[in-house]
Amino acid sequence: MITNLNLPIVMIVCLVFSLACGVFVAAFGKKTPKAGAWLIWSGLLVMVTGLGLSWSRLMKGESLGEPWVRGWVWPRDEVGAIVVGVLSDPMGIWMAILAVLISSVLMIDQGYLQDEKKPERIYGAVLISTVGLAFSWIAATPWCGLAGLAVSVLGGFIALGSQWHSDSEAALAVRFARERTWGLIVSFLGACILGTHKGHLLWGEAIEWAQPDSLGLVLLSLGLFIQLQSAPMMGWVVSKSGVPVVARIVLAQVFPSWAAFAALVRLVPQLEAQGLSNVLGWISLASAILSVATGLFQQEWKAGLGSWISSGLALAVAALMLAGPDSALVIAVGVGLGAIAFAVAASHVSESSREKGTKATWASAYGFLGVAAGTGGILFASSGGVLSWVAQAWGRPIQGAVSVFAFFIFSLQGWSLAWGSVKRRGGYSAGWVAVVSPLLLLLLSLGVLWDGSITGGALLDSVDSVAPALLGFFFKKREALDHSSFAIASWAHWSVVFVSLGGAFWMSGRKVDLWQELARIFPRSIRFLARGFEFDRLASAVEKGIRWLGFVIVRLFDQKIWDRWVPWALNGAIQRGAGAVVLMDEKMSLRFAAVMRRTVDVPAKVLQLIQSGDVQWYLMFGIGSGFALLLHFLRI
Amino acid sequence: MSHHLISLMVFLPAFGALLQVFLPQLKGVGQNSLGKWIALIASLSSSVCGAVLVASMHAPSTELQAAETLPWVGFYAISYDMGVDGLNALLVLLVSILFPVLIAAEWRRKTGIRGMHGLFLLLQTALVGVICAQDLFLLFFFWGMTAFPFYFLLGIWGGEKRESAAFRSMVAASIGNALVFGALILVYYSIEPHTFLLRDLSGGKLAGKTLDILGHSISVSVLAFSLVGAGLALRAPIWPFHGWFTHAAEEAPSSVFVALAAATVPVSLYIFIRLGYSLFPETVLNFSAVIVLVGAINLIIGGICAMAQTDLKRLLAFICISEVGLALIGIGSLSAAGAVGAVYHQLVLGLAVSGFGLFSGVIVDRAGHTVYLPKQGERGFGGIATRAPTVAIIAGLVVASLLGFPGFGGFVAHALLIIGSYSLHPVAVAIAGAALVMATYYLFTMYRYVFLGKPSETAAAFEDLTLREKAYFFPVVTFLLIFGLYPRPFLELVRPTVLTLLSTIK
Repeated sequence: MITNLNLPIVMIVCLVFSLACGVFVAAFGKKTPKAGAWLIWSGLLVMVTGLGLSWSRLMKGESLGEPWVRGWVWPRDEVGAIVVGVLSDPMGIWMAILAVLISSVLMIDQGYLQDEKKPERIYGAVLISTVGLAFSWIAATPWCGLAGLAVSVLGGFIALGSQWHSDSEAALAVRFARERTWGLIVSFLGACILGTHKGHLLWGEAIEWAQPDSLGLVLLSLGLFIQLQSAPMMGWVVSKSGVPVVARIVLAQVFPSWAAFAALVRLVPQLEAQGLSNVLGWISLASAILSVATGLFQQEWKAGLGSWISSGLALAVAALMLAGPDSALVIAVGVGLGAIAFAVAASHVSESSREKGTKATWASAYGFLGVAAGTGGILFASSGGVLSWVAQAWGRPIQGAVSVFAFFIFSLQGWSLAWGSVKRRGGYSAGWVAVVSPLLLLLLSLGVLWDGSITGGALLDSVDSVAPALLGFFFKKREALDHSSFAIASWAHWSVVFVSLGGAFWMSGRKVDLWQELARIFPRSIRFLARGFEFDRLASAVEKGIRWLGFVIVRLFDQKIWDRWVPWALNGAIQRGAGAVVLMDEKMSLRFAAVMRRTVDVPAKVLQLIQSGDVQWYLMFGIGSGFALLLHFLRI
Repeated sequence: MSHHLISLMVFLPAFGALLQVFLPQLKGVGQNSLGKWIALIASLSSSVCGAVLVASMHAPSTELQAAETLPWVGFYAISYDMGVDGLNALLVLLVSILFPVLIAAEWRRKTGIRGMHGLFLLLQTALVGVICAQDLFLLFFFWGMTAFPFYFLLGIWGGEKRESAAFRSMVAASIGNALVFGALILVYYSIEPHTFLLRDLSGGKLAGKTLDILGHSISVSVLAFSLVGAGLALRAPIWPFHGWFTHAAEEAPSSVFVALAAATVPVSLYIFIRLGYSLFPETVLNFSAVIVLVGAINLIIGGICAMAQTDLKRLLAFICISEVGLALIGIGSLSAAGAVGAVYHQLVLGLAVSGFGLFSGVIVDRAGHTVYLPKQGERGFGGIATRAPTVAIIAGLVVASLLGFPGFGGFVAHALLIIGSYSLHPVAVAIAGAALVMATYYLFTMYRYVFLGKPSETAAAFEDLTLREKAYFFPVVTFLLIFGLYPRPFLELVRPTVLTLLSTIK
């Protein structure tokens, strides 16, 4: 009997089963190709069942009670305890279900795998990533969040591994793994430092975190921010790759970033309490602007889309810190789903197709809709999120201006990508699945689903509301906008959208791509921007420096001191010592012999004289007796 | 029965080693084949005893369990005093897992297999003896015994410069042992009545005892602790006394180096904790910052040197040096989490290092070398994952544990060490973070150049693991996951003992 008490355990069992399926398919899928897809579907089905049970009870208005928490590494009541658990709140459960739905769409529409001879590894990666993302969203503590994130990163690494037999792809996959692991390590250090002071670190309990360590919080959030792979940590995002673009975008970029975003959303109360949210908000804004600057000059649309996602997620974090989680969530979801829909649609366009010359109209349309979903287009949930963010930022002039500017160039890049997709020509394998799957993804980002309103919150007071709002279900406290700030925000937002749309057409939609023209006119400056501000070169220089230092230390201590100097010194010392001992022994022996010779020489001579008869023995006795008598009488 | 489990565990391998020497010639059965099975059975029997011993321990107890006491040299109050508690139980497990694996790993050796297996068994006896000994002299007896098998294993089955490696390892071990022996004698004569029993010596009995040397009064505790520390530094290995260790890494067969790095190094750390915490508590308290400093230096220099490596075996040696530093930081932190983390770290480090060493061994067997970043004109690896996916998966799991990924033993150990050390030594924790970041560089670089990328000529002829190889990798990987996913029962074995020892320090 499944009760509310054991529901978290059911969910964990479902996730573990799915993870096992994913790992099995990734590892052994090539040997059992027929079973691969079935196993993935089983995993997804089991996951959605477990999560769906919780969701259905939440929808009925039942409370699932306190987070289910258990001590893992250390007794729960002691400082330093590492506790794990499940937080069955509506937001977490829904986002986990969303991950399963996206993965299901990817499994239905496998057009992006058309060039993959054996796609089982990517199948496995899909399920592993989904489990990781789902676990991050229902995590009750940062430890679980990090575990989910690590699983999600593993999925991304495996997804990039479809081309491991190529040197450049292997280098790219390793670079991805390395950069993500850096983020994980920084977050891990932060969580450990927080754990030093307060053991439980439950997401839901603000009191537990009443006096968290600032350094721990900074490191935890910085590590999570690194996972967004926005500037300057976007090296692999703008690298060329032959990996299917959907696998790369969804599994290596959106899912791990969403997993990090899950932890960031939960961390907001603590960051606000420490006054760190504003700082992180500014960092995110700066990072988003720099990411766009890199993305605008990408020659390949895949790299451009990657950097657009990075900047969009950085903007979502900025909104999270500066405006609140409800706005940020819909922006992050909009950017992610929009980008996935864009990538799925674009992946059906085959530039090498026989039908060359046919306009890929479907793909272009989905490209525009995808960008609209991410940039707060009408009907989409992000619309309300962006409006709310701009309205709240407007009260602080500098922050408002920078936010609007960041949003403008983000939109400009997004629309540039969309206009660029219009110019792409090639065959479009437009089966019904290919047409429907991006639409399904876009439906998931519609405002009616999240905000309950048809326009997605573009109208004040939700006058177009037709359904209950998911956001209202997730966040009990949602700040309502007043008329004046809403009006200003609307003007700002829609001006930005239309100006950026027009500007993007001017730059990218016409025959000559002006961004690329700029790159031709200012080659060095634009190359600097396009390569992510040469952060990679800096990192590479640091790596080389450390390696050089390592060589020097090894050369000095291992090869010189221990291999040469110490043996030489010991050998010399031992040889000289031994030589000295031998010499001393020789001299002492000679001396000893001389002394001995002198000592025995006189008596020996006397004895020899007696023996040879030169001295009569009785004479010796006579003389001896005489001496004895003399001594006797002398004593008397 | 349980009262003789330790003796069985200690002497069954020794008996197996003896059988290797006096193995009778049987009709129809190859002597080597029989010897292999005897070695495996002897080692496994000892391991089963070890597993039963640990499984039957009462977790919350701080008392010595399954204790065995027999007088040995009565005149000097030396006794055969053995037992297990929270501090050594995990090492009993480690040795129990490791040695049957090593014997299985050397199953197909063509020359001198009986000799090698015999020496491994002798080593198992010596190591289990050190771990369980509760008498200082007995502990030293077994500890001294560990050096000889290595000398022969290195000197007979090593690479081109095997004599030099064996000689250097023996010299380092001899000097180290001499220093430890000096400390032992000093402690023995400082206590009235003279005794070698750890329980009679523990609890700060040496506090206030001094020794007059050239008119200067020197604390016996400080002097003995310094001798023990210096002696073990040579064998742990602690930078810069590591020269013999990296040399041995180059020359030793993989299994031998695994025994050295995955068993002897954790045991050295164990002796340091055991003697330091119980015999010299006030000195450990005064010198805790020095211990942490030595750990931090080891950690960072080990990491930097690892980045400069191009050979799998040398890389493993420097990983070991770096990880020993992390354990020392935990030991010096004198916090419950840090000290328990250090003990747990010995276990998971031993397993991860053995996994690393064994897959290096598989690569040597197939490719004939371990240089993964070749100079121009040399042969490298690359693309092995396409031909040998199982090796690549195992290597991936080992790398994940070394980096402390959640779900692996390394995560638990790293988390406890950092949580325990941060309050008093934040700089050391920062260094640990930097070392971990460096570890991502050298481990991923190694992984990329060995397993991923365009398949090289070496990879084309590379075969995946055989059933035997899978069988001996299985326990290593499984236990790495078990210790990562469900660490609680193991930590609960360690924690009470460590808390008791720490209470005497503070």
